[in-house]
This record gives sequence, C-alpha cells and structure tokens, in this order.
Amino acid sequence: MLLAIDTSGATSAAVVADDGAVVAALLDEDVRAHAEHIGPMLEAVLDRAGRPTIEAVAYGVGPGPFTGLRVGMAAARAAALVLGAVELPVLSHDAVALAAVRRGVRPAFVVVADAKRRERFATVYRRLDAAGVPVRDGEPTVGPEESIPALPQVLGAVDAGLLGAVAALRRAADIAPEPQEARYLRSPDVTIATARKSVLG
Amino acid sequence: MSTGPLVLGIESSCDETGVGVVRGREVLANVIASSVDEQARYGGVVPEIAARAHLEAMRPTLERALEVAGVGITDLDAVAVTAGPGLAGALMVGVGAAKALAVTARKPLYGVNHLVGHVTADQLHGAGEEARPVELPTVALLVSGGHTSLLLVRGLVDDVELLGETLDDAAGEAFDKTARLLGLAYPGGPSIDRAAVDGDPAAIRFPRGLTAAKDRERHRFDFSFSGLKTAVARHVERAEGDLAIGDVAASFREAVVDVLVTKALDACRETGVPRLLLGGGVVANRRLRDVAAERAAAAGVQLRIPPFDLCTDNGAMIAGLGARLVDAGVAPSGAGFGVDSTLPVGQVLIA
Ligand SMILES: [Zn+2]
Repeated sequence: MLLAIDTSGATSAAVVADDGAVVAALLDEDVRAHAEHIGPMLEAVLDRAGRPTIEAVAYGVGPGPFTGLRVGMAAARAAALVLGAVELPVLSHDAVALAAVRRGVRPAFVVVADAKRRERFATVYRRLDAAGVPVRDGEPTVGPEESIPALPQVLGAVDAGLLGAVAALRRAADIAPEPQEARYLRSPDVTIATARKSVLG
Repeated sequence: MSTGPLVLGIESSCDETGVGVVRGREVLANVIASSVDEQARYGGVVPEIAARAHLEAMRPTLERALEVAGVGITDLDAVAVTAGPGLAGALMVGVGAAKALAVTARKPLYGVNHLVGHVTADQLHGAGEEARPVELPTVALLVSGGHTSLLLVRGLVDDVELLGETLDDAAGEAFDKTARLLGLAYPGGPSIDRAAVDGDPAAIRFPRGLTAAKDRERHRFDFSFSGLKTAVARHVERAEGDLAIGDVAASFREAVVDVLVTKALDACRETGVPRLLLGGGVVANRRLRDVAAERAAAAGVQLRIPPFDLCTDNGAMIAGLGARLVDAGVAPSGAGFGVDSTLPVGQVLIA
C-alpha cells in the first residue's frame, strides 16, 4: 500500500493499493489552509483504509504555490520516516495528466495551473510511458498565458489518489521516481523579514 | 535516571530548524540546522529562503535527533511543535511535519508558543546533569533577531503575561541593520562585538528608545530601536571618511544593552519579582550578559541564563514545554490547528 499526499494547490491525501487502485482519498479545494487540513485528512484516509501497512509514501513536488506545497512535502517525508516507507516523489502535474488520459484525452496536451502574479505553471505531455502514465516533455515552466505552448489545455486540482496511482504504476513498472526537490521554478523573493515585530496580534 | 514524559519537539519559526527530545526536564537531544549562511548574502532573514531551508533540513534533523536521543518514534509520549509566533511559511513546514509524525505514529500533538518555549529552556538540564530548580515567578527578557519581549511568568503552562515588547525592530534586527550601516558582516551581533573591542562605549551618546518620562505611562516596558538606528545612520553620514567604527559599534551596543537591562530590572522592581531570566540568541552577546549580571546583583535580582544552545531557537525547549503540558494533564491540540504568526504570549497552547 501507498500513502499519497499533495498540497501543490488543493490539499489532498489518499491510500492507494500497489496496482494503483484508490482505497481512500480526500481532497479539499481550499488553497490557503494546507497546514490546518493536512492533519485531519491524513488521519481520515489512514483510518478509512483500516490503517494498512504502508510501504511507500508518494508526494507531489509541485509546481505549485510554495507555502502550501511545502506543507505536504514536509508531512510526506515525516510520514515516510515514521512508517519506514520509501519516498516516491511525483511531479504534481502528472496526476492531472493521468486524470485527463483516464477521461479519454490523448497526448499531446499541456497541464496548466495558476501560479499567481498573473502567470501559469505549464507542463507539456506528449506520450505515455510503460506504466500507461503520461510522460512530460521537458521541464515544467512558469510564465504568462502567452508563453504556454499551443496545445489542448488540461486543468484541474491535483488528486492524491491519482498521484498515488502514478507512483504505484511506475513503481510496479520499475520506472525511477522524480528527484525529491520541490519544483519552485522561481527564485525566492528577497524581502527581509519584518513579520515578527509585534506579537500582540 | 530521570522520569517524565518522553517528548519530541520541532521548531521552525525563523531560520533554525530545530528538533529536540526530552524526558521530563532532561534534554536527550537538541539538534539544530541553521540557514544563517544563506541569509548572510542578504543581511537579514529572507522568509522564503528560511522556509526552503526548513523543508530540506526537516527530515535529516528529525532522524539525527532520534539517533542522538537513542529513542524510536514509537517510544514517544507526545510530539510538540512551534505554532507561533514566527514567520508563517517557516512555521508551516514544522507543523506539516509534526502533524504527519503525530498522525502516523498515533501520538498526541501539542502546538505551542515559541516565546514560552524560550522560558522553558531555563528548566531543562543536560543528560546526566543535576536538575535545575524551577524558579517561578520570574521576569523573562527574550531577545533575538525575531523578538524582543519582556514577560512576567508565574506559571509556565497557565500564567504568562506580556509586560512589553518592541514596537518596531527586534534587538537582533537592530544589530543586523546597524552592522550593515557600518559595512560589517551579517549576523550583526558578533561582528559588532568584534568591532567594539577597542571602541569607547561612552564616545557617542545614542538615544535610548522609550525611556523618556513621557513614555513611562504607556510604554514603560516596551522597546523601540528604530530611532537608535536612525541616529547611527545620521552619525555615519556626518562623519563621512572620518568614522571611528569601534566607537560607533561600542556606543550602539551600549545603548541597546542599557535599554534592555534597565527595562528588565524596572519590571522586576515593579512586579516585586526578584528574578530575571534571559533568553534568545542575543544572549550570546557578552556585553549584555556582563551588564545584566552586574546590575542585577546591585539590584538584588537573581539572574538566570540558560546554556547558549538552549537560548537560541531550538527544538529541546519546544519538547520541554510539551513535556510540561503533558505533566500538567493539558489536552493536546486538535489535529486541525494552523500556524499563528502573531500568537499572543498568553496563549501557551494552540487549540
Ligand atoms: Zn526565538
């Protein structure tokens, strides 16, 4: 069994069987309260799945707004440590791409997500791999709408059930997971902290 | 062999990723990874750089702390994590990790107040060392790059009162900004200390913020360092090529230390509490410790300074506070709490 977590946009957690079948999954579209949702959501999917033995923890590495993205990545790595499970990083857009293929959309297409500041994250998919999962063509990008390649656009929240399915199918097909680094795609804004001046709230 | 709850604590409110393990009041592990070197390029803490560093450091720091403590996650009685105050994006990394730890290992989770954690540090002792007597009530002066607060602590888990805090820059921030003005390296505390070695602390009379008679009514225990920073800037401008950096550094440091110690001892007098506890990274400043020791002794106030690795932001103090809450029979936080970057000091535990 796999535990899967993604907070690259929404907050989502799932328990997925080794063949990619979703055992329990939850998704909350609230794009702000990742730190709040992650606890109850993990508890709920693990309980619903009957607290199975977890051998791998899949997690989305983005792209997505940074603050939320990190909550799920930190949670997933901590969960893997506790459970003695392997970490299986997944490009978050791969889950959206798999959802599209399962709806009957055939590559090539581009997965697009909001990157704030009037920009979009975009990842191009042109083929399926041996596991039947869409394979990205090049690295994900961030930029204005005009910079997105002229392909059919696929949108949607990242569902941890599908993210877990991507990881499970690829693992079964012996395809190496993604590097574990967060896909920030932007350098950090260099603004010096002033947030803690007052704690009177 | 000490007794008490075995608690793991996670701290990520600023630029240190800290994980500690305590059994009761005994520190079994206190592991810290800092992003200070990355921040040095910018002369201050960049929140996004701090948060990125927390994510990378979190799992290795957790593993190292468990290894040093020689305990497994299943052995723990509880997990504690800093819920605020601090930088929101940084806090969220710790809270995300702590929630996953607690849920997957089925342990109670306490989301706690960072500042009360600093106070807890005074009650901790190293492995095999004698327990330190708990000395309450106490006035606590917490000074770092992120906060400058004066507290009255009557009970760690249920009675912490904010007497005053900085209205603008934290004292550590004032050191950083002044160091930049003088062309000295980040972090400002140590570099100003080095520059001040041959300087005359009485060379320039820099202003002591919020110490005038008119401020006594409303801001008796509050701090302000922005006027001091401006005064140093003006002095540097006027001096042009003829700047005695040693004198400026020593005089600046003297102004900061004077205000901190004067207000802290005034709080002891006003509250009738003859005890002063220092905490926070600025305690590393030798001059602050010396002046505090000298004037506290003269005022008949007992001064307490925890070991330095418990003064800076660390996970052991958070674990220690978690252990106190477990001991007091306080119910853990619910799984759905969020971070609070301005969590008031009176709120020891987040619901
Ligand atoms: Zn602190």
